[in-house]
Amino acid sequence: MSQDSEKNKPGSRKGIGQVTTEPKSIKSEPPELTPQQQALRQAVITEFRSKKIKAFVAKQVKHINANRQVADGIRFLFDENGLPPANAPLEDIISERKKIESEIRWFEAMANEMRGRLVQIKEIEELALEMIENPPVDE
Amino acid sequence: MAAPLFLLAPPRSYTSLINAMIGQHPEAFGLPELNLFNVQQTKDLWRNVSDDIGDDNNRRQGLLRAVAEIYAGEQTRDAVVMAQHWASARENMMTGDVFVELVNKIDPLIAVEKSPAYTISVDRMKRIYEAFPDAKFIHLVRHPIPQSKSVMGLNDGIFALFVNAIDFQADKAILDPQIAWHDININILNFLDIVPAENQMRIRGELIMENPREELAGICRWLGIRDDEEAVDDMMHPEASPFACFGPVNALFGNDPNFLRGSKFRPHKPRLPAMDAELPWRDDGVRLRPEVVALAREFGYE
Repeated sequence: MSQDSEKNKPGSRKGIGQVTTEPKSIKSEPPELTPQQQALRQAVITEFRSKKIKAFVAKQVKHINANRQVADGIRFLFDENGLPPANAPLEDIISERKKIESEIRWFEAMANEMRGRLVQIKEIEELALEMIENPPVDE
Repeated sequence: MAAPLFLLAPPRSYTSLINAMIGQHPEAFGLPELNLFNVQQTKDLWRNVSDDIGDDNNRRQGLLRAVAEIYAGEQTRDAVVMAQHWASARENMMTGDVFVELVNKIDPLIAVEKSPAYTISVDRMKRIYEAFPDAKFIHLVRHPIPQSKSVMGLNDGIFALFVNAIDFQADKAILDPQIAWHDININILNFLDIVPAENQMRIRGELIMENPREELAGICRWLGIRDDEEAVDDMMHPEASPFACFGPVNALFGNDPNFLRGSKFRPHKPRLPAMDAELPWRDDGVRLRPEVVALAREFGYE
């Protein structure tokens, strides 16, 4: 097949980079990169992250209070009169906050309960395995 | 069932605005970003895929808002809770079947959707085609320089980094979004090779910004829907879409936050840089790559 007909084959246009088609995270390395390219890519990621951290620290200095910083980050949600979006009235925001707090308490209680049960079942499992390995000798 | 319309474009290509404009046609229904075809089964949308690009939670909010609006006729906290249950009841369904269900529910209106994340993978676009073999597609393009500049302006260019749009040189690597512009458009072209010619059209976003009435009427004729003045008037008001604003507190987004904040359309003529213009994101004098220039020319940019 000639180069031209290969180029004209439907669906066969070629890219110019190693654009990832199913990216999971910037932490995952594209397999087609050479070791040198991987190192260079890592340098780009490190630079990107340090820029983000610098910007974060700058904001922290501006707003020592963490809650104010969050408020600053979502200020764009509010209109010029400081009102929340029409679909999200203040009552809903407060009620949603209470619901999430209550759910967190519920999940924490559930997690504690499950941790306790896990300790218990591990002990039973260990004992059962020990019994199989060293069955009690009848007198 | 009316065949849905999908807008295919890399991010930052006027997709939110144009999706809402077409969706305001009396015979259409503009959806938020559903992101359904990113994954195979509904439950996969609830799996965290990345801690790098925004919040995973955001990519589900378009679906929740759409279900709330379509089934409850409102977007309130309670309607979103209902939508969460709706999605949960369909967690093992293929996302294509879930989309079909939504399209049936709004029938005879034409569903209009765009999720830029579809275009990073041909497989994702193929899922659309498998679910809707008669779907129509608009390949929306934007000049590579303003599009890339806009990508770099969003969260320091995380998107370019995420898809590995990196220019590797002998001793350094530079984030270069023109690579993503090129390769994502190539993905779209490769996918559209399997779609019948009559079910696809390509349009430059800048033309719609400059001559919205003529271009929108042309899209209507291609879709086989009304192209009268009244219908086009409706399309000139994307801000009237129920999804052109922030949602309730438990599903605030579902689209580009800048669009959600203010989606009024004002016709204007975008300034198009020359193909050999300096690239605002490069300080080493590098220009557009020959492949990028060739593709941009193929799209009609001078």
